[in-house]
Amino acid sequence: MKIRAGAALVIALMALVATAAMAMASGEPQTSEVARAAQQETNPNTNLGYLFAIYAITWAGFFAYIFLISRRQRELEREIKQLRQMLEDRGRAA
Amino acid sequence: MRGTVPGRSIWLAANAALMAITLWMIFIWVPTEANLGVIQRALYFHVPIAIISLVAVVLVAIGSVTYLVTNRARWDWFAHASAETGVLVGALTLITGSIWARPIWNVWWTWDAKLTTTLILWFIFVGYLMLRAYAPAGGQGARLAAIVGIIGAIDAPIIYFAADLWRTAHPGRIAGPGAEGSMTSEMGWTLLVSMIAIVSAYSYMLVERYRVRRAEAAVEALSRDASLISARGASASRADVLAAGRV
Repeated sequence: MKIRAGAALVIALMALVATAAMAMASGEPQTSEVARAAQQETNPNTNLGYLFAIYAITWAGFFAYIFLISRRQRELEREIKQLRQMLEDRGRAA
Repeated sequence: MRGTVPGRSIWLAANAALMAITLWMIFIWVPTEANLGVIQRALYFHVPIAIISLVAVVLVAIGSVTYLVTNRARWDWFAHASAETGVLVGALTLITGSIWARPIWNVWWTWDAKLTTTLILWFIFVGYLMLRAYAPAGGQGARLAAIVGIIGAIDAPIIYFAADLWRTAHPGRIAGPGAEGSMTSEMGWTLLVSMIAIVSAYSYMLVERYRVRRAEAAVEALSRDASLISARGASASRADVLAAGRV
């Protein structure tokens, strides 16, 4: 439980830091070189990298979550089985 | 519990098939939008995920209100599962939106009303989960979390109407009541199929997370029973020893 809480806290802090960094980056004055590079990036034909990133991240997020909850489910099923077995054994012994 | 495994596998396979069809439609079937170019295809994932994150907060609120009224644990498990899946789809909404914003607005992030209220919603979800983790186990923690879940739901209509309430860089609604869209029929169909695929995937994750929460509750109950039996066994042994006059 504590590990999960810690992980949630770390994620929240990382998100805060990333948000702040992005906000700061957006406020930076652009040099002509940066502006030119940005212009190239806004060319509709050169945005495939961004599109790929969007789909890859979404898929990765879904798969990782499904994998984690499936693993947790298996662990819990095993734990329930062991506990039931233990209770049955004690019941028989009593 | 094992009996449900084939059903879950079929659902998972159906999700994968739906996703494959969606990807085919997005990358091959639907025409490229004239103004934004290929990056506009991000819409077919970003919009359904954003809608799902709003649905998730509404589900958290429904679960929380019903739990407070009925005091049945299953509604608390449902709210908890909705909040956790909400954190995932909320994070994906922010990430995909940010990546889309970079080539279109030339920034990764801007403090636009729609973006900021969505970020607030994500923090509400995270806060809910942190409260669940740190609050005392049992009814008290569940009730506190339910209150946070209900308060968090206030943010959903604010996000939905943000483009109407404030002047935002974010485009207006393209689906739902009062939507202002100019999509071709191919784009509309692609968005619809993508919406179905993502709703199905989200529902699968929600159901699985609910099952995990229910199993966690079962483990807690069985562990309590086991420790009670152990305690009884220990006192019985102590009584035996006392009766035998050896202590």
